[in-house]
Parts: sequence; structure tokens; C-alpha cells
Amino acid sequence: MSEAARLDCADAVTALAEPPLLEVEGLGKSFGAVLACAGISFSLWPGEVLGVVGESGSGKTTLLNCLAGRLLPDEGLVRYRLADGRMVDLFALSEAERRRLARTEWGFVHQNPRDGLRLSVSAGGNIGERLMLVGARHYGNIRAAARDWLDKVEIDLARLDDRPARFSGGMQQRLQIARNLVSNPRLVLMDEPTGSLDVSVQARLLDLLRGLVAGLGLSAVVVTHDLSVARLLAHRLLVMRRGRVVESGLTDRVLDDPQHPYTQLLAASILQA
Amino acid sequence: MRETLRVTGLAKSFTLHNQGGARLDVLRRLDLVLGEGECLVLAGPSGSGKSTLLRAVYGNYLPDAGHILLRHGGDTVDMARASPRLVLEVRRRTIGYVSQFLRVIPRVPALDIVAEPLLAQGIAPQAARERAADMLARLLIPERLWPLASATFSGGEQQRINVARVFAADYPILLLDEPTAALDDASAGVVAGLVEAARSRGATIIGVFHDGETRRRLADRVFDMASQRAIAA
Repeated sequence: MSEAARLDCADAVTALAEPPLLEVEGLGKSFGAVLACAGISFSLWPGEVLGVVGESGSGKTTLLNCLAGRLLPDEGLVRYRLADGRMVDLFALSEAERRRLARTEWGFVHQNPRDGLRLSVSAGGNIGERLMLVGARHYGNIRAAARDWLDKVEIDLARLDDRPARFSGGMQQRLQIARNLVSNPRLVLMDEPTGSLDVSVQARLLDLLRGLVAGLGLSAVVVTHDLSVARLLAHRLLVMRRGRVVESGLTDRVLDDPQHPYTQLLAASILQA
Repeated sequence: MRETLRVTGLAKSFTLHNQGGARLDVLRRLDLVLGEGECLVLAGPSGSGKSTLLRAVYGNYLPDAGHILLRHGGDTVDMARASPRLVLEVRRRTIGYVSQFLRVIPRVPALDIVAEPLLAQGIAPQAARERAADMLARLLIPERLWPLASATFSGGEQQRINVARVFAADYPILLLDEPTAALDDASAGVVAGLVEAARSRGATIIGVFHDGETRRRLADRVFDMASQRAIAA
């Protein structure tokens, strides 16, 4: 074997030895007598996209909201590795510390873009606001970053000063993504990012997301009921049913050789386009 | 000859839970050993497990039992047990897999589809695009198609994109599932030439080829799926 190949392999081993960004252990949450999710454990490594799939009511969104610190779980641990390398227990932090983390190191993409945008503020303002939260002060730089990101998400630069209330659903969703990614978040949580869009608009957004995820080496947890979204975006999958993970593994392995009866049912239900 | 791939006791069945729990036994304790610069051709009727074997080696199917040991850089990896992250790493560096059909990605130009594995290996964008262009030209894809998304391409064009994507990167192990099935004679000849060149540089190849001529040209050994043992080429 050549020296170059040896070095490549050493790189590969180093990459795999990197510690996880997020560790979830035995997470559970109920609403009264209704169990939303239980016994959820997984790790997420830097540069990895984890898809969480399952039908409505399977607990996917509850899990995501617990990871985001927006809901307090009844049991279990979520540990997150800070930019400085320290591992923190998410629910041992104060509410204020969690909010600061969500603002500075994380992104959250809502299914409905209206939940993640400020509709009364211009498109450029929506992007710039996020940068100002992480300390940007120079107006020219902020405006330049906003223009750069509008371009990346394929929104006409002429719309920079328009309010997103009058944008189409697809444009709003692309703006929400720009607002989230402009500050280089270390972890992005997405709840059905294509869920509120028409099919023709979904393909464009999905392609855009795919490019951004690969190009930026994003670490993300993507909740979706759409298996084709999961196949295109996620490296690994968790399949949830009635609040529990019934199967997990490499995305194409889970979809092409599903083991659990429920995963087989889901995979067999995809229409071949 | 240095050993690169060793499969031992590989078993794979499919249990169809939503069809009365029907069980299909496809691979039954299969063994094979391959070395550098060797091309093994899988023979047998459809349904005999040729694609299943390739997919198991690629980590796409989960074996019931057995080991799939392959050389990955300086390490030995068991694909039957490797973590998802390790499987992805092995696919990035070590295994190229030409599936029977291209999984078309909407809106991505053919040239980018072919360059993508090179970029994932850390090759600079300009060099990756040049190698991708060279491979598309060798596979007789007209240059006017390179900037277009492949969704509207013919079956033969899509299959050649699929082949170009894998052969642009110099993987040590190649898994080829009917790479010439949808191709005319001229294109099939180009693909056979690429396989021969890969073998000459030391690649280990397992292939399924529907036509006898390609099979005879490329096979060092033939593996009979019915008896699950190697027979002479």
C-alpha cells in the first residue's frame, strides 16, 4: 500500500474516533397518561445527519422538542458537547443558559416557516437578526451576509428589503433555512422541513438542503414522515412507532432491507416515481 | 496475490412480516475469497442471490450470519458487523458499487453526480470535475448532457452515469451489478475496458454480467450461485 493510502486510512480512523456532539440516553416524555416517547437513546457525531421517521403521532416531534430544550423530558439525559469541548447535561443547565445555547450554537427549522420567521421584519432583517444575536455589529457585514445567504437559498436579491409575509411558502421556508444557517450553527434540528410545501416546491428545497448539508458538513437531526426526504438527507435513521425506536441503522440499509414489521410496512408504502 | 475480501458462512434470508411471515432463504452459508487484481463473476438465474450478495458486501443488506472481511486501508473491516459510520467510511474510500439502476437525484447535473464521490474523497473541485468530465467522455456521454440533471436521460445514459460515477474514483474493491445491461455494444465494450483497467491496477472485482461475451472476457473465476461455489472460468 502506498504512503498516501496509509495516511488516508489514518485520517479515516481519526474521524471515526472523534467524540459525539450529542448523546441521548433513555429519554422519555408523557403528556398526562399519553406516552409520547420512551427509552430513546442515540448518539450524533459531527457532520452527521440523523433522520427520525415514523407516522404522525409516533413521538418524533416530541423527541425533537426535548432535544431542543423546548420541552422538559420526564426521564433520560441529553448531553451536548460545547464548542470548547466541554460536555454539558442539557437539563442541568438553567433555562437562560439553554436559551443562549439555542441562540448561539443551534438552529431550529420549523415545519411551518411562519413559526420560525419574524413576518414583520424584512428578509434581510430576518437573516441579520440571527447574526446580531451571536454578536455581529457591523451593518455592512451583516447586510453582505444576508445578501450572500439569500443567494445561497435562491431568493432574488431584489427581495432583500421585502417582508416575508408576502413570500410564497417555498420562499419562506428557504428564508427560514438561511436565517438558521447564517450563524454557522453546530447542530441543526429540523421538524418536517418540506412538510408544508407543494410537491414541486419540495424537490427544490430538498435539493437545496442536500447541497447545504453536504457542503457545510452540518450536524443535524431531521424529523420527517417522508422516506424519500430521509433517504436523500440522512446518513442514519431512527424508525419510531408509538413513542419507541423500533429500528435504527444506516439509511439505505433500513429502507432497502427493513427488519421490523413496521419498517417493512413503511418502506413498502413508498410509491416508485 | 494479496487477499482483499473474505466471505465466510454468509447467510441471508428475508422475512416478509406483512405477507404472512413468509421467509426466503437466499444465501446459505456462502464462502469465498478474493485477492488483488481478481475478477469474480457471479452466475445463476435471477433470484439466485447475485444482487443480494453484492448488497450484503456493500452493507446495504443485513446478513443473518457470517462475516464479510475486507481490507480497508490498513485495517480489516467486517461489513456484516460494522457500524453505520464505518460502513459509510468504507464506501467513501474502499468500495465502489454500480447498482442496476441509477437513483436519480432531481436537479443535480450529471457532471456533479459523477464528481461527487471524488469530492467526498477530498479531491479538489477542479480536479474532480476534470476527472468526471474525462470519464463521461470515455463513456460516450455527449458533452451537451453534462450540465443537465439525469432524470430525463435514457436508461442507457443513466446507466453510463452510474458507471462513470464509480470508475472516476479508483476504489480498491468494485461491485458491479449488471453494469452493461442497458447498453449498446459500443458502450458495453467501453465498460468492459474500464473493468479490465481496474483489474490491472489491482482492484478486486465482483460482477454480474448478463451477456456471455463480457463474462468470458472479464472473469478470472466464475461463482455458481446455485451450488454456491466457485467453478473454473
